[in-house]
Amino acid sequence: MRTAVWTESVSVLDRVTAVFEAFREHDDGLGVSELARRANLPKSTVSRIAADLVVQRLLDRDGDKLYLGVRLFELGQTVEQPRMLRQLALPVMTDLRNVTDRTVHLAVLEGTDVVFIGIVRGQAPTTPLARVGGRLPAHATALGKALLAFSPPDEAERIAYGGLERRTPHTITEPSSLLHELADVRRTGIATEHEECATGRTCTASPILGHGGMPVAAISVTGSVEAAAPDRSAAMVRAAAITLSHRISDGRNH
Amino acid sequence: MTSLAEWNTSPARSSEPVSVLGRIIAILDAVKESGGSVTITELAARTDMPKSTVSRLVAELIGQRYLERTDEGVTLGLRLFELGARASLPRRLLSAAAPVIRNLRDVTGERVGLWVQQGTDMVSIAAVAGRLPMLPTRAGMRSPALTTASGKAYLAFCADQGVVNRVSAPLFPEAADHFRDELSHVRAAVVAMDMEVSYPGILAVASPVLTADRVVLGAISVAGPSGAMDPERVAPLVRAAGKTVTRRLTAA
Repeated sequence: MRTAVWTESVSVLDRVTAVFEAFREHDDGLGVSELARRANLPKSTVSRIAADLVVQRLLDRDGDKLYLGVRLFELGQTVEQPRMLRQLALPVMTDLRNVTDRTVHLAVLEGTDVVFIGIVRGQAPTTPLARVGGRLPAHATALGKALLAFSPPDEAERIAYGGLERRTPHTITEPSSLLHELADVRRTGIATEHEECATGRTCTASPILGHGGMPVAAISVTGSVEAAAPDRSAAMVRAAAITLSHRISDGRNH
Repeated sequence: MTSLAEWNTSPARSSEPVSVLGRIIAILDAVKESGGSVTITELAARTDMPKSTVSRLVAELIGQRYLERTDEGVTLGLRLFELGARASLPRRLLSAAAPVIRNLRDVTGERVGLWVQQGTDMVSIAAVAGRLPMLPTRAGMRSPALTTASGKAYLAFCADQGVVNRVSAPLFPEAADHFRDELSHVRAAVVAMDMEVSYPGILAVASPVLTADRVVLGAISVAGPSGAMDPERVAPLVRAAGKTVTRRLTAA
């Protein structure tokens, strides 16, 4: 049976999460009223939670504005999986950027999205779509397709039939088309995306496989449609992913 | 029933946190400090909470992705990574400082760090290795504000006397006077030095990063091997770097 303390603690965390998630990627400071509106909570509640979170430095306050705090940054930088993966992948990502001159991304699958955990920027003057810690829908990115193709089939199906958001006229929104494409990706180890996420942008990705062939992360090269030379970069992305898959298995054995 | 009054309790100074939020944070901190995975039993011992309470809160934290289950217990989860990447001050500072950090690293050949203050420590928000590759300074790690160059650069310009007092609290009266003198020198020179006090064999030079209205946000530092790096030669470069970051912040 759920005790009163249990119920209370659940709602505390729910409310804290609602406040945190009210801050979007490019937001700067938010006032209490705006926070309350976005978190869908009474202003008095948000005001109390915010005061406690400020004391704990999970939020920073500057005048009337609240910001996600330095302590969250500190906790976030300590999260092991992205930190280890980034450390392992960074030299390979830098090499890949140097030979392709394009932006290299590293991402993991989280629910229906990919979360970016590392970016090495290339020279191409494309507006950055991704940010470390940011998300994009898995079905609309090469990274997501590379990860889904090597995930258990029921997970790919769950996402395919869970509703595919249209981001551009080229986004795959038909579940069967997505599953068909994932079968190809599984065969070749290479996923591509052509203006499916943002107009003018193209991407090639390959999965980094860990223990038992399960995808741990994916690596990609992104460029503008005009500058793309997909065949050549595909082989290089695949090679980088294989190198990293070996390194991850080696790391596990030590 | 736990009343709403619980919300108004200030965080406990004792070892046992009283509010639910306090307990949640104590658990997250204990997992962070474990440096990897930790079991419920270990967490209960570290946080001084009943195992049943820890177990309930951990389940909830896993459900909301603040923690993640591993073979050896629990570890910090991806939600914290995502939220942390959105934290405002590090993001703002880093975007203004990134080219300046690279340039300072190229010019000096030494390790360059960017820092913000947190409690009595400085937290690294960026670190680029120089000829000193192995320093405890990757992003997210802490160094004591009292002895480090970045800490002194920050404190010298910190308008909140409470922060300065908390950091210098462990000092005996004479040492505290000396520390205040040092901070006023730092204010005049706009540069602080750490001559092997924090880490043996390592010298560091730091300068503050300020807003347009002179509020200190953090510090930029250069660290190198004692005997090989000349702090007097590096000082003007670090001061100029601090000023450039300050200007870029204002321009942004």
